[in-house]
Amino acid sequence: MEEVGASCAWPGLIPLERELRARLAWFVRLRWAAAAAIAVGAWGTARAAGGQFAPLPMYMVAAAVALYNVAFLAITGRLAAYGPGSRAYRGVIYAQIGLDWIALICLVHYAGGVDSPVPLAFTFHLIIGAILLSRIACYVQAAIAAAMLAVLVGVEHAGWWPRVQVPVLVGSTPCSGAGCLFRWAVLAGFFVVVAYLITSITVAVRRDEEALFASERALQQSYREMETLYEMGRVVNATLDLDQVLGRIAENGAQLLGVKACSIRLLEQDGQHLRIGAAYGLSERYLAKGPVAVDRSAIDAEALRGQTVQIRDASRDPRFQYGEEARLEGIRAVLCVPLQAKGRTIGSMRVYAAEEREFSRSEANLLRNLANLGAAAIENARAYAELRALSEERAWFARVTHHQLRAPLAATKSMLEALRYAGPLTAKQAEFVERCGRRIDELLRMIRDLLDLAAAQRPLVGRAAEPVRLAECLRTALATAAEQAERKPVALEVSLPDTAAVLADGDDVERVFSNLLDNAIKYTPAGGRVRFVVEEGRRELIAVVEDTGIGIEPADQDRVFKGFYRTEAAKATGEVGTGLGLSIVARLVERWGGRVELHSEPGRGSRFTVRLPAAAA
Amino acid sequence: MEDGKQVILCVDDDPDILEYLKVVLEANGYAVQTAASAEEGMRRFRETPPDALIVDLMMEEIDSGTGLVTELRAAGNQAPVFMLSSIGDNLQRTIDTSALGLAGVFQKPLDSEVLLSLLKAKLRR
Repeated sequence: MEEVGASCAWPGLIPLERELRARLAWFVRLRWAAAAAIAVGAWGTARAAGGQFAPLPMYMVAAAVALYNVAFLAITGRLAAYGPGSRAYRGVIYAQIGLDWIALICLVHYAGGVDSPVPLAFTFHLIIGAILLSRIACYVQAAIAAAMLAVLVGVEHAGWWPRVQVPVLVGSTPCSGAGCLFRWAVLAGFFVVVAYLITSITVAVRRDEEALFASERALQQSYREMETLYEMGRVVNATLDLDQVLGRIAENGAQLLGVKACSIRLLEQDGQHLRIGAAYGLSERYLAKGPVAVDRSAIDAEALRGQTVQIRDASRDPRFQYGEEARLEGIRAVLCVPLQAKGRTIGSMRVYAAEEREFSRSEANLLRNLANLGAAAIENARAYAELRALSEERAWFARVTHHQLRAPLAATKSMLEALRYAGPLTAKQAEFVERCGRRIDELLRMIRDLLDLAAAQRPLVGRAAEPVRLAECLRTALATAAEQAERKPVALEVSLPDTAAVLADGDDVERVFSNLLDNAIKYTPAGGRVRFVVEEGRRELIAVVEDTGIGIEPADQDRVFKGFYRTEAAKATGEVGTGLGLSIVARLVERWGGRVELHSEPGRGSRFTVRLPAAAA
Repeated sequence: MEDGKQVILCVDDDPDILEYLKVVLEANGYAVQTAASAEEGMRRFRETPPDALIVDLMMEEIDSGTGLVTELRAAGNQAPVFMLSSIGDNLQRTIDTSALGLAGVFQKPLDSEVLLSLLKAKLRR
C-alpha cells in the first residue's frame, strides 16, 4: 500500500480501518466505565436485595478489570509502533477480549447465571470483535461465548461452582436444568444472529470504503501527475533555453516515476546516432560511455519507431547496447519511449530503475506525456533559434543593403561636389548640380528611413531591454538639435534629469528623440521655441517634446503616425522629409512597451508625449 | 611634404570617392596619395609618410578600415587619421573613435567645406 498522508499513524489503512484502530484506545477507555458500572451495579444490587446478595466477589471482578486495564493502557500506548496487521496488535485484542470474557463469565455467575441479563454483555464484544478483527474471528467469538456459557451452566448444575441466588436479578425461582439449557440455546442463537448482522454490515462497509479509498488514491496519483505535467508545460512555455527545459523534464521524469534516473536522447542529423540532451541521476562516467548507435541499440530503434519499450534487466537484455556499463551504474529495469513532435520522432526518453521491475501501463503513459512535453520544448527552442538566425540574417541584409544603396549615391553626391573644383561651371550648370545634390539627399534620407522603419518592424528576437540613461544616450542628438536650433534660430530648452533612464535599446531611444527634436525644430518658424522636458515617474518616464510650430490638423493627427504621410502645412514650409519619421518613432516606442501621444493645435504648436518603462536609476 | 605641399594619404576601395578626394584636396593645395585597399595603404604609408590620412571604414568588409588604423598606430604613425563612414549615424556607437586615436570622422556623402576646414585645423602646426 502506498502512503496517503504523513499525519496517519499507520500508513496505508483505509479510513474506516484507521478509525477503528483508534477505537482500540476507546475500548480501553470504555473498560474504566465498565469496571465502575460493575462496582456500582454490585452496590445497587446489594442495596436492592437487602442482605440477600454479597457484592464482594463483584467488587473483586471490578477491581480485576480495572487492574488489567491499567496494563492494557500501557501496552496500547506502545502499540503504535506495530502495524495493525501485526501479531502483537492482534494478540493484544485477543488478550483483552479473553480477559474481558473471563470477567464476564464471573459476573454472569455472581449475577445468578444465564437467567440474569449479564450474558447479553457478550454482544458488546462481538460487535467490537467484528470491527477490530475479521468476519471469521467474530463467529469464532460467538461460538466461544456460547461455549463458555455452556461450560458455566454445566459447572453450576454439577455443583462444582454453586449457583448464586440473586432474586433481584433472576426472580425468586431460578430456572431448572432444561430451562437453563433453553435460555443458553436462545443466547447462543442470539450471538450467531448478532455476529451475522454485524459482520455483514462491516464487511460491506469495508468493501465500499476500500473501493472508495482505491479511487481516491488513484485520483491523488493522477492529480500529482497532472500537476507535474502542468508545471512542466509552464516551464516549457516560459523558457526557450533548451538545456534548462530538458534538464527539468528529466529530473521530473525520474521523480514522478520514482526511479533512479532519467535521460533524454536526441537524434543526430545523420539519423543514426543519439546524443544525450539531458540526464538526471546518471554518473558522468556512464554518460561518457560512448555514442549510442541506433542500429546497435534495439530499444532506441524500437522507440524511434514509436514504440514503448520495457526492459526488466538491462545487464542481460541483448537489446541494450551498454549492458555491462548499465550493470556497473546500478541500472536494472528501463522504460523507453519516443520523443515525437509534429508527427516526427526526434529522439527518445528513458527512465532507469535500480531494481528489476515491470513498469505499469499508467507509468508508460505518464512517461509518454512527459516525452511529448520534452519534444514540444525542443521544437520551440529550435524554432526560436531559427527565428533568431532569420532575424540576424535580416539585420545583416538591411545593413548590407543600406551600405550598397548609399555608397553609389554618396559617391555621386561627392563627385557633384567635386565638379566645382574640377573647373568653372556656368550659373545654370551650377544650379542643376545643386538640384541634383538635393534630390540625392532626399533619396539618401528615404533609404535611411525605409531601412529604419523595416528595422523598427522586426521582432525583438534576442534583444532584451536594458537600462538606457537618457543624458548619456542623447548627448549627440541634443548637440545636433542645439546646432540646428541655433541655425534657424529657434530657442531650445532642455530639462533632462541626469538620472532619467528607460528600459529599452539605446539606438532606438536615440532615434526616437532625434526624430522628434528634428521635426519640432524643422516645423517651428524662426523665433519660435522648442522644449524637451523629461520627468521621471515611478514606473514610467515621461518625455515631452513641445514646439510653437505649425501644428497638425486634428484630421491628420492619426495619419502622421501611419507613414508616408506629410501634412500640407509641412510640405508648404519647404522643409524636406520622407513622411516616415513619426511612424518610426511610434513603432520604436511601442516595441519597448511605451506609447506616444500627440496634442496639437494648427498654427500654435505640437506636443509629443513619449512614455517609456522607467529603469531604476 | 612633397614639393612643399602637405601629403594626404586617402584609402578607400571606392575609386569615385578617391577621385573626389584627389580633385578637392589638390585644388586646395594638398598633395594626394591614394590607395584602394588597406594593404596598399600600408605600403604607401611606408613609401611616403603622409601628413594626414583619410581612411574608409568599410573596405571590402566591415571594420577593415579600423584594422588599418590600428596597424598604422603600431607602425608608429603620428599623423592625424580621419575616417570616412558610410554606415551613417551608427558609426559612433560601433567604433570607439577615441580608442583608435582618430582626428575626426567624415560622413559620406562628403561635404567639401567640412572636410577642408577640419583638415586645415588639424594640419595647422
